[in-house]
Amino acid sequence: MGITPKQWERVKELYQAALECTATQRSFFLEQSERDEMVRAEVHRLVGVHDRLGTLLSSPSFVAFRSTGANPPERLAPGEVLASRFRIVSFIAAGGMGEVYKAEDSLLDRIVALKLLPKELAEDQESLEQFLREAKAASALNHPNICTVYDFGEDAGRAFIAMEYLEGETLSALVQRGPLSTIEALKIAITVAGALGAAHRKGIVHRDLKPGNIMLTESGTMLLDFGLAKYERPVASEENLSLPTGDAQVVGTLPYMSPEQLHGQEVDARGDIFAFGAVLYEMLTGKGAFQRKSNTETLVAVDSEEPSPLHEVVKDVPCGLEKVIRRCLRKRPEERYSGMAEIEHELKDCYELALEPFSGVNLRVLFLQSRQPRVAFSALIILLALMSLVGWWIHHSSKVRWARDQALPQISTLIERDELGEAYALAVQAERYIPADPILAKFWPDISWSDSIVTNPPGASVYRRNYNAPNSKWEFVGLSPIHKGRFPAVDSSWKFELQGYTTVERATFPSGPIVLTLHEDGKTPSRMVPVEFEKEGSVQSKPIALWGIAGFEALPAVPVATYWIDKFEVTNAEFKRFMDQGGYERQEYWKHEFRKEGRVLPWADAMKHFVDKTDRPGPSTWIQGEYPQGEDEYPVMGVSWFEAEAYAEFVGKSLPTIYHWIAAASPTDSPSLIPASNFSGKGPSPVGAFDGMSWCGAYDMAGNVREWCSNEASSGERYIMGGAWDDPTYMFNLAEARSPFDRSPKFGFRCAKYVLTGQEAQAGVPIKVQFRNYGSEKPVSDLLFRAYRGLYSYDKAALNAKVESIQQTEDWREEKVTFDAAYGGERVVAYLFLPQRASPPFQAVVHFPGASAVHLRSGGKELSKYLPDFDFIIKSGRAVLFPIYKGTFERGGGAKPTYWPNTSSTYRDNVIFWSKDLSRSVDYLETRPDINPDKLAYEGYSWGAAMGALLPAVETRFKALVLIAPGLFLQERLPEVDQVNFAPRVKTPVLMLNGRFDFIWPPGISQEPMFRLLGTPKEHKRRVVYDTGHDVPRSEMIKESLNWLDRYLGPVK
Amino acid sequence: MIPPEADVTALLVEVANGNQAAQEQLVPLVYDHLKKLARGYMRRERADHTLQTTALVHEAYLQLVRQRSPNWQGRAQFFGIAAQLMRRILIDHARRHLRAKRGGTQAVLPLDEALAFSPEHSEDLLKLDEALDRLSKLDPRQSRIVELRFFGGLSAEETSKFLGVSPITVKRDWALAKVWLYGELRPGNGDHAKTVGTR
Repeated sequence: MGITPKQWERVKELYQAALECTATQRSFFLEQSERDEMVRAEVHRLVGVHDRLGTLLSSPSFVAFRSTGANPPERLAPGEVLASRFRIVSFIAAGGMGEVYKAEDSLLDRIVALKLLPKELAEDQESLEQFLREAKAASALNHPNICTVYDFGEDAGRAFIAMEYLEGETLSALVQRGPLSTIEALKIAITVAGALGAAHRKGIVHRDLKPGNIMLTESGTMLLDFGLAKYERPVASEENLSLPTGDAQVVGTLPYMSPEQLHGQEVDARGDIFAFGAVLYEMLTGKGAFQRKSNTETLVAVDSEEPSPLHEVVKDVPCGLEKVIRRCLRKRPEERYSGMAEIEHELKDCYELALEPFSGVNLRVLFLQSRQPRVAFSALIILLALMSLVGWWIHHSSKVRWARDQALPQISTLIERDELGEAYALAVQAERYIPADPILAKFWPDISWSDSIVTNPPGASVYRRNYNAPNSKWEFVGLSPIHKGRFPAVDSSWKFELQGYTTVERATFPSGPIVLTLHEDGKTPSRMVPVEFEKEGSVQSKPIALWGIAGFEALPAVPVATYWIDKFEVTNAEFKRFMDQGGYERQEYWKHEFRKEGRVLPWADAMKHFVDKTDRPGPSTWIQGEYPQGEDEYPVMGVSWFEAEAYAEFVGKSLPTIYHWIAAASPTDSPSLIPASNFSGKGPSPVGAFDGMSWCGAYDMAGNVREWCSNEASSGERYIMGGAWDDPTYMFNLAEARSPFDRSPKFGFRCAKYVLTGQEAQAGVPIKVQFRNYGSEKPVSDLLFRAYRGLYSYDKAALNAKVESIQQTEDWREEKVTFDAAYGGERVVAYLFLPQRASPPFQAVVHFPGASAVHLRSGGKELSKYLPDFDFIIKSGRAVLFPIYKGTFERGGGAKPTYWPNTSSTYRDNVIFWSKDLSRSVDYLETRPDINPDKLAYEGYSWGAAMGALLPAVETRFKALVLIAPGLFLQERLPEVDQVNFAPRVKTPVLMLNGRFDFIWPPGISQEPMFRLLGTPKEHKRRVVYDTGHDVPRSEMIKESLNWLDRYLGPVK
Repeated sequence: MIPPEADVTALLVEVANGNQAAQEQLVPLVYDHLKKLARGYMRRERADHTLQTTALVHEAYLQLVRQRSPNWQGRAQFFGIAAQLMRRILIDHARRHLRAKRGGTQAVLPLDEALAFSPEHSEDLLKLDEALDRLSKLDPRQSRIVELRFFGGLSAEETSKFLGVSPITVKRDWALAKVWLYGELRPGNGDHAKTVGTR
């Protein structure tokens, strides 16, 4: 065009003004205002175009144009004959179906309305056939208020429908002029309802009910365009043009479309009911129920907004009517009426009610107006109408597909990767769309736990968040009690709040139940947490065994009742108060004997030991009787056991017994607790700074500083627990015993409040545990070893093996076999699993279970619990033999053998029995033709793995050892059954898989010495350590074990 | 694959806050969706191939965004982006249709709020696209107004808020644009520039 942007701007400015001039004024005005001729010419041009487009342009919405003058080629001229029968009289309008003509039916000698279908429709065979079918169905509608379809067909490439010719006014034109009276509206509505109902009963849905399809003729109200809405093109009709809104985005049928229709779903009768409600609303108010200023807003309104209540817009609406309309306009089809009959009935009731004041007056509704005003369009005007969005899946069904096809497999993957928190979150999302899905149902046990949360009193607000995730928000779970709540299977922190009561914190690793008591605000000792135990849904005392402290597991349990323990380690500030109030000067706080090297010191002399760096009374780390500035909240460090006891006396509490300390700390939670605690190696931290909260709500029981307990060990030493910031993490799982005079900088303490009555007094007794110190131990000489080894030998008599029963699963064949033991006329029971997916002769792995085997009595049934420990081996194509060792499962009976070593002969005898059972099993395997005797391995878990440091020194026919979570026993036992003497004589390639937080066999004192002692050459020894407790991640276990077997037994063919 | 609705809504909020990166993320999401919808439309076994662009955009909007929550801004953002994409999609369709079909009558393209695209309008549509490009060189904002209202179905008010200009400006620009476009699409149609008056 050549015009520049600058010029264009000028054009715009002038154009507006130029429009307002008359033609004659215009040139003058432009000459005056603009020097640039190009600009003037452009303005002129544009104004010219504008004029030609005429009034159509002032109708804000539409500009329509077509090539000048001539009819489009498809338009039929008067006089033309269609189907040898219909003679065109005149063109009426571009109607819903292309064009509508008035025609003469020469066959039946009547005037008809002829609707011609769009050419493309007629050209597409399938569409045409479908259309004809629909037209046929519609023609079967024979109802006084439905525009009758006489005939339909095609001719010369045009498809047509011949129907009743109607003269009158559409409802939309009528409503244009203002709202109808209640009576008028009701009359029309009742008629329409009747017609619609009749059609619905014949299975025909209108699909496009709107005021433009309701015609008011002399003979009554008529419904048009039944069931044929699908074939409509967006078309102009006067209703659309004349909508009075300022910037009319005329939407056509949009405001009458039901929400499900908008979403592209198939419409049924209830969609018609929605439209009906919208029409009724409009009749009474004069405006559309959902009409808004733009398409967008109308769309949203239909989908999610309620129309203004009728009584706000119109006076004197019978309330029955409002209810009817509201129910028709429910967003969800199932909430609307299910049929027109009911609506018709209710409307009739309303009508009678409305008539009452006028009884005696004959009201007639004027139907007939002048002929439908024709708008002379020389142009084809296309209306904005949201066309059928039929067939689009609503986002909900796509959500269902997402849930099924995407979320479910993802959840499965997350479970395998052990990311249970994420799996849970995803599952909760998916559950919204596929709540009844059976696959989803199977996931829940893996990713969630379900149990009760009970408080006393009830009604507390319960909050949960992920453990050791300080940035995650507290989620409100509900009010206690919560029965059968479902929670993600991840370590969680909990908070319980109730007005007037002290907030309680708890942690679960990962599962509950949780039962606790809330204590009233005034009645709670400050900075202390209650330690309560739950049993069978209520709070009770619990026998506490020293489980989780290596080497202490076998000590007898002691019942412990509810008590309080300090939430934090005693701080500098708190200890200072003790000092300032004469703590070091008042003898009455110092109640214990100061026994040192056999002598008892007098109090004054003893106190000389308890001085700080400047020889003033105070903790060893203080200076001039003060602690470093700013460290009020740091734990007091460098205190002896005596000082701790004196402080406790001062505040009216006690040092915890080791039982109380362990019950609160719960060292078996070490894998969760340790990573969240201060073992940083950098220094101590203020109390509570780290997230590591024990299950009962106490902080820093692991790490930070070590904590004195009250119990005596041997020779006057006292226990100090928990480990400090610079200790190896496994110190949390060890009980250290130190001189009560010791004042190392990492020694601190906390207090507890408890009463020991009766049996509980056991908690306070001295505890003597002999520990093995593998650092300094040496194995016995070869000579001695051979003597020991001799104890294990037996004569190889006949096995008399028998296959007792066989069970088949899809993965293996399970044979229960028995054979003679190497002693006492007993029979060994063993389960042999033969793989389906390989061919004999099989490699074989002999399994040795964990210690629980000792407790279980019934073998076969319980066996399935042990399958996960070796099922993957079978699936790799190898046979597994699971011998029932003496004293375990069905070979138990009588006293349970202890798997914790001790120095008794019974223990020694048991170990020898187990060894003989093992060797006999190998003997048996050698007799099986389907087993390859050169390819045998040993696989042990926990107890069985620990035995793997001993047994293979006797039984040397294995080619590989796989030991899951082993370690050297910490307890004393007789040398002939001591791992220390046998491990160096194990030469078989060995794989050890350990957990860093193993509380039974801690790495430093048990796992590492074992690995060192094993006699296997370095290149055939392998140890992997994981961030777990007394187990190993399953995927790792499978991977490492199978790799090891592949390497030393060879891959399975 | 319909993206989870949260993404789009969140992205819309971001875009409304001026986050360019979010816009870049949103565009492919919406584009894919619109294309898919458009393809679906074209493939239907209906003779009526009329593609209502606004219908499409609205449908995409319903499917992608949670209507209850987004504020007005969010809607405008969506439609603003969708409008542009819709235009691209339609032009592609038109080109492809013209390539496939040789000759045949081309019907007149009606200019109105909701561009109704039938294959028979392909030629005009391409012309419109080119004309809009020319207009954008003269007045980018005016061209954008046309795009938003034609292809995106935004009302004048929404357009004015979206672009940050007064509604009067929008209406005037819109009215003039229509006239200009008409002139562009029907140059030889008896509308020679009439220079009226003489000096």
